[in-house]
Amino acid sequence: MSLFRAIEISASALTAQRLRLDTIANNLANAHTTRSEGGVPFQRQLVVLAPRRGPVEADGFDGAGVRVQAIVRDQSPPRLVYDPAHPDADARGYVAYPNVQPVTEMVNLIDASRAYEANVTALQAAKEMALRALDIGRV
Amino acid sequence: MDFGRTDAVLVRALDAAALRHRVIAHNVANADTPGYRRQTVRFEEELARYLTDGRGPTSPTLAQTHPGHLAGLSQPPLPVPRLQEEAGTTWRPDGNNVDIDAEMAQLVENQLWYAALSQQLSRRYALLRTVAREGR
Repeated sequence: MSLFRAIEISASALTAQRLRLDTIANNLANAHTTRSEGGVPFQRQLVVLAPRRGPVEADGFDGAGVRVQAIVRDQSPPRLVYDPAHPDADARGYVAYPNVQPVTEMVNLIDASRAYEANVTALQAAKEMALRALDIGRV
Repeated sequence: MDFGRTDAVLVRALDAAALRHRVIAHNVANADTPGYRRQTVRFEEELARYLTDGRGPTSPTLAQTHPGHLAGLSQPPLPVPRLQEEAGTTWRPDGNNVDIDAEMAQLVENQLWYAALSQQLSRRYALLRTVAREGR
């Protein structure tokens, strides 16, 4: 039944936005991590989204929602702060902090939350329509 | 009372509404996907055309067991929903043209249309039931 596919489409978006939320939360948590793997400062991560295709249905539509294609590292340079007393300060006295901007992350967090809500609404609508279809012809 | 054509058209419209919901859900799911173009379902024009042109004489299709038999008058084909991709209305640098507010509004509209259609179909079956029970 095509409305089950509709629920799968919305569910795929919920998964993708939740992963996006996790990435943002991780970025925020590590905004001051000067020492991660390899001794370099933490690098901001972002998700790359792509449309998901499924098998073609009887009506010709093959859309199956969205998927996270990759989680990539932001290659922007780290933020340099002058602090010679810091254990991770370089020869000139600068500490390299992660390229995470808290304001940008908060804006993306709000965007991901709203996207999540919108897809929950779409899922509820599919559920309501399917239940209504079950009532056709009911005595 | 024709319970051939009207019911068939109602069912087709229900299928179109279900397809439209899937397309809207796919648009909403991809509201942040770079380069994604929103899709729509065209059905109303097909339906209008069917209702005006399709008003030919209706007769059942007759079996032909002898070459001399007549096949009966042919029925016009029922309206078919069509998918369409909308390009050129983007306002975002990544090429995505999904307007989330427009999609959510269409979601509600479509949901109400589905409810109205399923109610109509139920009413027609209730009518048949009344006829079968001879008004009791």
